[in-house]
Amino acid sequence: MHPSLLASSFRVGVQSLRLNPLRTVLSTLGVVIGVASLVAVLAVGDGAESFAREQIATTTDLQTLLVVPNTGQTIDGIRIPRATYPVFTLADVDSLARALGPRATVSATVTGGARVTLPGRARAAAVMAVTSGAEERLRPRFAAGRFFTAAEVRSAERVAVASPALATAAHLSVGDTLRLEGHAFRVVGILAPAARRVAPLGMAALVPFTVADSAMAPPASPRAPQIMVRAARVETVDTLRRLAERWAATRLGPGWKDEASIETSSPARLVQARQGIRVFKMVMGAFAGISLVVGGLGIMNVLLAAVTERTREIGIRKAAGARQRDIMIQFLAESVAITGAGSVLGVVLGLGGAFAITAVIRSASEAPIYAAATWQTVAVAAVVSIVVGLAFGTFPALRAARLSPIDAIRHE
Amino acid sequence: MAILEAAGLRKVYRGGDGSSIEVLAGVDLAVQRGEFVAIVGASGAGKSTLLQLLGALDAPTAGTIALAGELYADQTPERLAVLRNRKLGFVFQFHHLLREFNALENVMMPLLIAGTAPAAARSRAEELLAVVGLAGRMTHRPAALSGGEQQRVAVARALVADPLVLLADEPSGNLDYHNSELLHDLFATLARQLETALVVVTHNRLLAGRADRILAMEHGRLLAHPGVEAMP
Ligand SMILES: Nc1ncnc2c1ncn2[C@@H]1O[C@H](COP(=O)(O)OP(=O)(O)O)[C@@H](O)[C@H]1O
Ligand SMILES: [Mg+2]
Repeated sequence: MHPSLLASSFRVGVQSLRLNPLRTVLSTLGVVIGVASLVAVLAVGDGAESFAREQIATTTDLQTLLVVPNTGQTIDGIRIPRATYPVFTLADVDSLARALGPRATVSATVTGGARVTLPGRARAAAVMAVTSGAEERLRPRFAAGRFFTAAEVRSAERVAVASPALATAAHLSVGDTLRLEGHAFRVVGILAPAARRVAPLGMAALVPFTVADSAMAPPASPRAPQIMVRAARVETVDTLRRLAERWAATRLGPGWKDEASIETSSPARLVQARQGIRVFKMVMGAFAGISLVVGGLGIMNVLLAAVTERTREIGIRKAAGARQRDIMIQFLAESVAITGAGSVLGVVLGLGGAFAITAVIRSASEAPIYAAATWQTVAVAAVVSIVVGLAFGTFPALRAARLSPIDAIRHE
Repeated sequence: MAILEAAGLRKVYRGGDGSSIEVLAGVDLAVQRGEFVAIVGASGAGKSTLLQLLGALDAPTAGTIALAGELYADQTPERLAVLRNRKLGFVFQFHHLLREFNALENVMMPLLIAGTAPAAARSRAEELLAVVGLAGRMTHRPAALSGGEQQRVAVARALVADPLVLLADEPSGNLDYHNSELLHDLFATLARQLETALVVVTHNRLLAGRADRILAMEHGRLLAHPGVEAMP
């Protein structure tokens, strides 16, 4: 088709939208409502899901896997120490992280105690030497400063994060020097008093994993660092466990089960959590499906009404020489304009509505739940409105365009 | 050679109850270039039906129609649309203007469908509206025009693409004496000077009197009519 012909059919479509503002507004409103309800349900659902996941992640250990060296065995209820056991290093953390991929964060921890040099009487602090990945697991809140970085761990910087009690006792602020076992550590962060999920609430310091030896008093037997794997989602814990077992077999040999154990929360609780999430997702999916159907029907309805009313117009145009495709392009142009404008408005309105709904839920339940605006939500809404809009904006027009001009003109 | 030629046209309508009525029972018609043919007949005789078939707005049950040697039955829907657009002009018994468009836009429509540039289409449409005496009504919507004015806009729309044949279904039915005379002058001019063939269904004696030939629709057939003197 000649481009100017296409342009003129397109212009006709846009012009008829302009010339009948009431019909245009009503049709667009149908699309807006359909898209907005779909977007709102999806965004609230996503927000509720991430709230539920956050609850599981922060209040349970369901997403944590421990790789623990077997430093002893219990026989007849009596613990017998083993002479040798694996000592995990930063290289092990890195290779396990590679084996698990982006589904998990991997960190290592080793604990001990240290004398703290303070003016006046001798004090001591619990010391946790961790890799930077531990920040994801501990989720510390800071009164000042920050956690140490991966680079600082790698280059074995003597830096430390102090617990509130230690900071108070030693009058520490960020940038000060803290002496552990006589070695100087630069304080980069101080935890907030209510630091969530952080065990060391007394006199305690966090230091890079790689400087454990200088930050702690020497132990009787070699230190036995543990590796912690934190799954991004509760669904992947089983997979991660299998991958971690495969990694352990490579690292420690076929008899690895004597050397180390991989610990998770009880499988029953994991199954429960997963079931809960699946039920939740299916319920939200059902809601989304319902609003998808309702939204789609709304769009369909306004467009069908408009087209039926316009069969006479189609007949008049055909009598004047319009071909089927001229009619199609005209109605396509109109549908594109209506569904396009309607979708954009609908997405904005739907997201606005979703945030308003979650604000109400927050104030009523004090649960920190926030609507989530994801590109998937926008994509679903866009695809639905485009498919429904184009199908029902043009299909009836196609049917009308197939009538003889006189039958279309006579159409009641 | 006839510009428009119909042979053995039959049209059977099927009613809702399954019964069928034969409105056209074998119509033959040949219209020459520039010829002005008037068709008269009682209401319900099938005049509009015949005109719609000639205008390629509907398909006959049987029989053939050819415009400038091209058989309708041989055309794709596509080609038939082009034919309606370029070679035929149709004035409906009821004006059938697009009510959301003003007079000028209604008249421009066939040209825009033909792909004429909007500026050119506009000046041609303005010219035609001036010819039918509506230079001052171009931006009026149909609802803001009188019945006669609406009909004249429809005539302008039918003529805007310079058709070979103009088909008009009781065009002066709603017009007063002065306006129908204007329209009749226009039709006469078209036929005489531009060699546009005219097939006009009318009850108007003055209009029929200007025709080269008058045909009567009776019992599904076209017969020669004795002349305006015999019209009621
Ligand atoms: N689409 C149709 N379906 C059924 N019957 C029709 C249809 N169109 C016209 N008719 C019938 O055909 C006959 C002729 O109609 P028409 O051609 O409009 O007559 P005229 O224009 O001469 O008054 C009438 O009896 C009318 O009821
Ligand atoms: Mg009639």
